Amino acid sequence: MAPVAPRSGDAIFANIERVNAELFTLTYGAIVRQLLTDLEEVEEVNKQLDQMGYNIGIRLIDEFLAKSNVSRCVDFRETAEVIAKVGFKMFLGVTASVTNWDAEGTCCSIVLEDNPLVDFVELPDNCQGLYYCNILSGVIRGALDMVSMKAEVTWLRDALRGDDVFELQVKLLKQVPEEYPYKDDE
Amino acid sequence: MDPARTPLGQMLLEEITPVVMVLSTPSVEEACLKNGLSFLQMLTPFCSFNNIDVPVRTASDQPYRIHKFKLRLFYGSGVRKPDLKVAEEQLKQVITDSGEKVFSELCTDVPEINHELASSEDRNTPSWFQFFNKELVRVASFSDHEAFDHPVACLLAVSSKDEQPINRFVDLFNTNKLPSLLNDGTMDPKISKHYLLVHDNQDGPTESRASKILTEMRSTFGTSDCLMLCINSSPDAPIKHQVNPWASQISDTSPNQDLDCFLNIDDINEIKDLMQDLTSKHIIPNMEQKIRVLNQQVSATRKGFKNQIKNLWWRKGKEDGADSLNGPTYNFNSIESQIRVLGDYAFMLRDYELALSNYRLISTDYKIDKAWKRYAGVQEMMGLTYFMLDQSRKEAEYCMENAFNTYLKLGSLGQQNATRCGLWWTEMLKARDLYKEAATVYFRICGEDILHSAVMLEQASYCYLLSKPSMSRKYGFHLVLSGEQYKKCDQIKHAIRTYRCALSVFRGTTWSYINDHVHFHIGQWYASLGMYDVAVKHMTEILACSHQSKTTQELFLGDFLQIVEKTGRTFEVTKLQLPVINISSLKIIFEDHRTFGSPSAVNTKEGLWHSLEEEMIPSFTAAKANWLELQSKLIPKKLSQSNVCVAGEAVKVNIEFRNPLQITVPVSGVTLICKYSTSTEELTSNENELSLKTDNEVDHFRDMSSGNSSFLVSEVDFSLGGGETTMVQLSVTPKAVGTLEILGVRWKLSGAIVGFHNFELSHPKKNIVKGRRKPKHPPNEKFKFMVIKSIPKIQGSIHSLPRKAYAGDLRQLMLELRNPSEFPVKNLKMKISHPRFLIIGSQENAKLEFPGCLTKNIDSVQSVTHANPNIMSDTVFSFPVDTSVQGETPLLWPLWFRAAVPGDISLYMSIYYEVADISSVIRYRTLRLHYNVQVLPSLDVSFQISPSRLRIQDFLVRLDVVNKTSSESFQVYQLSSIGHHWEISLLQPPDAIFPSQTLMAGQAISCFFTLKKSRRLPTLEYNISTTHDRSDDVLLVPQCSQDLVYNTNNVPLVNFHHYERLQQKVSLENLGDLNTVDFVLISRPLNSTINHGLSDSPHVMSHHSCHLSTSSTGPISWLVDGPQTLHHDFSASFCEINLKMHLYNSSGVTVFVRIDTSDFDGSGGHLNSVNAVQSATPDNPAGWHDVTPVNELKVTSNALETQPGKALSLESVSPYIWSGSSSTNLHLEPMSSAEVPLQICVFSPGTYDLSNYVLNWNLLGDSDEMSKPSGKCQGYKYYLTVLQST
Amino acid sequence: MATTACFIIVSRNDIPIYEAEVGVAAKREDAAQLHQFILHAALDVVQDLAWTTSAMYLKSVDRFNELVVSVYVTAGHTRFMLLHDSRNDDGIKSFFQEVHELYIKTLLNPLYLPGSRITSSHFDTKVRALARKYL
Repeated sequence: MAPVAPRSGDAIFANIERVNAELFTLTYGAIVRQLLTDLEEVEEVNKQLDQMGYNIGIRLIDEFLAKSNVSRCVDFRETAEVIAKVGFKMFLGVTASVTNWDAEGTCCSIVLEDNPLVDFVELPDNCQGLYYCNILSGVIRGALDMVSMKAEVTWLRDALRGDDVFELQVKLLKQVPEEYPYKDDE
Repeated sequence: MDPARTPLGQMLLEEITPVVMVLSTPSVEEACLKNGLSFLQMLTPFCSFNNIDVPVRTASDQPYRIHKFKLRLFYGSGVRKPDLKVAEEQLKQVITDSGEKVFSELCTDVPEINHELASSEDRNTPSWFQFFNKELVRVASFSDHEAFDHPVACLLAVSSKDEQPINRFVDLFNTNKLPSLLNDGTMDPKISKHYLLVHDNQDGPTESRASKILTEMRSTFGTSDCLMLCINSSPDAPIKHQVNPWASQISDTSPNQDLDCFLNIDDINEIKDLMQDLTSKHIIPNMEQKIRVLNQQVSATRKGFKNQIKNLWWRKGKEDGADSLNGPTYNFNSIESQIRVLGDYAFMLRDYELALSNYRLISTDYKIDKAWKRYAGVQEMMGLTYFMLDQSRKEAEYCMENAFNTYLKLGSLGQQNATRCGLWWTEMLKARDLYKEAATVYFRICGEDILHSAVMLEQASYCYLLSKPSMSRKYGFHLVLSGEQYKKCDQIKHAIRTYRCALSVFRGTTWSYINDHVHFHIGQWYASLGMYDVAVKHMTEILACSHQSKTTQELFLGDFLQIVEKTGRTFEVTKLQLPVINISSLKIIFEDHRTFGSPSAVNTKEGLWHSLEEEMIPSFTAAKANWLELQSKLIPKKLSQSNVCVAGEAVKVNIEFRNPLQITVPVSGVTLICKYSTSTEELTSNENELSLKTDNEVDHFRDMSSGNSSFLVSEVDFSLGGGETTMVQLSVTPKAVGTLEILGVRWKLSGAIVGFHNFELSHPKKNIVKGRRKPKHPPNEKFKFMVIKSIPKIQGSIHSLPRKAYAGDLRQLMLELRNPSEFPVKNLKMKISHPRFLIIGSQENAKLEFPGCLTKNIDSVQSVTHANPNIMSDTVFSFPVDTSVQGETPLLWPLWFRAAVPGDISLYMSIYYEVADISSVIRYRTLRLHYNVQVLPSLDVSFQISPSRLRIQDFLVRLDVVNKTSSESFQVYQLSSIGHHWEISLLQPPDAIFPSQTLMAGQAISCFFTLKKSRRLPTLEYNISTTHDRSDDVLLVPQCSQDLVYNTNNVPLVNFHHYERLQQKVSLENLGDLNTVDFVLISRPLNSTINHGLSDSPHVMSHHSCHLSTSSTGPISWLVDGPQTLHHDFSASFCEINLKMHLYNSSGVTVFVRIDTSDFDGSGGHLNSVNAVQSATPDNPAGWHDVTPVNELKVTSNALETQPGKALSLESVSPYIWSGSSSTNLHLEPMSSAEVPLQICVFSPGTYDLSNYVLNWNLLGDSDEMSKPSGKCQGYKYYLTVLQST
Repeated sequence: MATTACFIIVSRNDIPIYEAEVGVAAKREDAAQLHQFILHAALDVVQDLAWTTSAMYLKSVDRFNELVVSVYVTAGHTRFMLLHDSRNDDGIKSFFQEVHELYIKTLLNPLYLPGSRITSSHFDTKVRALARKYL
């Protein structure tokens, strides 16, 4: 039951209208900056970003499913693939790779080589501990939530903290089974 | 603008004037000395004429009139180059005492920069500047290369007392007494002489002798040049002049003492007219005449084309002759000197055109002759002339610069002239408002002489200030430069003065190095003057110099401390930058109705506690409301928000100190500054007076901090290493009811200096513990506390709670509650965040020893009450009503702890209690405890249940135990199934499984059990069996070892198991499913090598695994019953074999079952059926929920094993056909079994795998649920061997 | 490579937001404050010059003994000031231009609020590299 999903979002990305990258980046930056000034603690900011991301994600998923005719994923592996290959390409214009599967196939890492959010960004000393792109994890969480997967998204590596890439660990906590309302047979 | 009006003009009219050489006999002098004056001094005041109205006719024919005129009188001895040394000393003296003078009035505060600008006009020309410059100019006078210092006339004075005055006159002017300059031919010795007979009237009347002499003189020297002056004509009584014309002369005598002189008015008038007509009738005409003469000569020799050529040719001729540094020496009658003289005379008589033309003329000559000094001098004069003519400024400046540079080229000889030239130049620039350029010139003037350059730099700085737009930074910079110079020639006071002026520029600058430099040096210098207080004030500015190098920091701090100790008292500074207080880290911990067991409990989020306490605290808001209104009775509304703290309980303040330096600083006596007031109105009053008195904050703080009996403050000492940061906890304990306010913190730096920091004035981002009220607080409210009378406060702790434990570790803990106060508390409640880890025991458990209480050989009656999990649901546990905590005796209450899962667990528990007396503002309090436990993985237990093929409803249980620890070894002790509807029994004797009876680190074992439903009718209720049947417990150790069996249906195991069940529940539908079994594996650590890191070795460890579904293949279980082997003679016929299938419906509802048998040709069906097996279990498709690894393993594994099974059967097994009905349908009642006959036909001997049939089942019955679960079951392998019978 | 070179970035309100001694000369204790004094004083000259020209690179605006101050004024009136004793004008110019680009990147960092001190180590290393390259 392999879905006929596009394996990369290039096609969709091609005919999605875009916004100037710098404008986008700076806008996001302004948001983060404002959050930092408003709720003076980095931890709070991380939470807030994640929450915002969640709110985006639960909306974004529909758009995503509509634009990219991804059909139902059979398992989590495929979902992760779709997120990385199609989702990121579609909305961020970059493609991520999925690695580090664990044995149960419930936990993997999405690795972003480049990340348009963090152009020009450099973490000052007082903002160490800030997950600048925490909104992304929130988005993924929200999106997965809408397709009834309770996931936990955490940053393993952050280029802003001196790592070479961005690595998001997506850990599937629980899947609320959606029963097929009718019998299989007869 | 008239050039003559400008300062430079004035200066020139003063300085460049005719010189009269005075030669006098001693008797003349002594006659004058009667008046305390020298002859020269006596005449001098009358040599400057403000309005001498003389017509002057120089080379040009039409005369013009001179009004202001001045003669400079010099004794013959004075006509020479002034001595440098003397001049230097004089200058130094001038500067020094001016320094004293200025410094004394400057010890007031530093002038502001704008005030600087306003008053700079007079500031940049203080009297001593003027004087200094004048002196500098004078130093350069009587140089041989310029002529305006040449005496134009000579005044010979002889007293009438001298005998043979005529001869006296003569030998006064004989050459060997004349100054060298006249003799060596630099100056023209043939100067017009004037003979003055001085008669002292006190020696008798004039006519007798003096007149005789005069006539004699007249006859000798000619009438015109002989004069007579009578002085001291007043009778003996000396007369006082109200206006003393000589005041300026004798600066050394104090001006108030006006010299009594015998010169009466007509004497003075006589002197006046004498000088007047000397000037107007003789000197000026002489000069005029000389000018004319010289002019004719010059024009004769040099004017006109022919002369030019000749002159050039001639100079070329003597080109080779002279090239010393200042060219050839010209004596006075050389044509060049005469031209120069002509120029200077013309200049002095203000005929600037004439002067200029001559200067031009001569300058080329000097240039060609490389007579640089003279050339420079001429250029200088040209510049001045241009200036006085006020035409072609460019020319003027060009000339000045030219002259200046030329002088500089000359090196030391030119130095003074260069300075003079520069000064004139700057004056010229200033006169034209070119202050910036003037400043640069000043800057260039300053040569190697430090003192001069200091003054020059300072003047330069003022020029920068005056320039438009004013360049304040340059001003500051040059002030600092000059300050350094002053310092070098130890004019400390000037240095300080300049630096302080500079400070007005640099104040509040962020240019760190500049700031440090200025403050540090001012500090040092003040210290060197012994003014330590000011020094300290400046030094404190630079303490936090993190940007400086380590050595510099040590230097700064060292000097600072030295100075401080020199002062001999401890300073108290409001803004001491060392150490730095991280105000954002300020955190106030206080306990109103919430009390904390440990600091970690304080730091946990308020929200977490709220969620924990919600149902404990009776209607939180309501309670708050009523204590609020109760409060509002006590205090005004505005304070109703203010924080509440209890008398006798400490309010703690966490604050961070940071040491910016790289060197360690000792900090001592860190205390809070608090203000206590008994009533609230008073507090509000001196609240605003606090806001007023921020200036004299220091003493304000001092009396605040001075021992106030109404509260106690803690004192902390620590030492901060380089660049390190420490969090300090300070506390204040109010003793009486009232209002307490925390104003700030004070500390003592290295025992010498006390610093204050006021929390109010620097409004920080305070994160007070009660974040909930954050928005409501105005900042100052944060530090105000309403102290209420003391109420009980329970202290609690859990005994022997391990920091580390292995998973499954089960132990009994003691909660100890103490109430030091004498007030009683009532209805205690308790709530625990993680009931999975920590549950509350009963009082009875306290009596039992552990772990004996777990075993079954105690009667389990007393545990019934607690064993029921319904009350163990996560609601509040409330202590029995009669429990009282008071006084010495602590309340001990048992807790059960079980390390449920590996990981770092933080356990929160909150204890609620109410205060007995109603009058108190706070009705109830909560004690919050927080503990962290690290749980290490110990045993990994997994079960696999497969239906037994021997008997229906029997199951084979495979237990896998892996020891995940690194070093521990355990004894797997007992396996029990919870609830009484399963019976387990070992397949092998235990010692067969565990020969060593231990499970080493990393070792894994697996053993098998048979599991069968117990005959008793099971219900969903956990009914507690009072009769012990051992059927649901299996000891995994040989009986001999121990005889006690742990009662898994008893507290606390059953309670923990309850939570485990809740935790491990997969999904709702198979909770309480009869086909699920829960196991508890009890293990015990063997050797107690565990107690590294662990507080004490665990005794019992229980591992729970729940909801192990026996019916992995759906609700039905079946069994194919038939012969295993049989003999048949195939030669006779094919063989028919009858089999029976026993079906059992283990579910609660009716099941519809269809049995489809399929033959081999439909082998595709097998593959489908293989897929079917995988997707048949709808509740766990691969990877779609968090199943334990073992389950996962199982699913995949039997998927794998069916696959090759089929494959194998395909090729190896010879075919057979189902001869019975290909499909059978039947309904199975709940918990009922049925038999279905099956038949196969085989055609050849062989072994057959009768597994290719499929059971389709789906649940009927309760059709209200929309989705009816259904599924397929692949048949299991059943091998039948048929042999050829013989 | 210049023996002495002190580079300072001064914000529009005359606060130094970045300082670096990029000369090869051994760092003397008093040198630092002298350099600051000179540069600070040079600001006076700059503020006159800055409005007279539209060019960003006003060459050498001021001098003290043998030390020359070259200044580059960005559009935001942030001033790059270099105190140097070397003579390659174009080198300094290109140095300034490259630093300007770096500075713009820093400005675009949303977590950097303009006018505050530039603490980024990355920026620092880059600047020093440029100094080695051009000065």
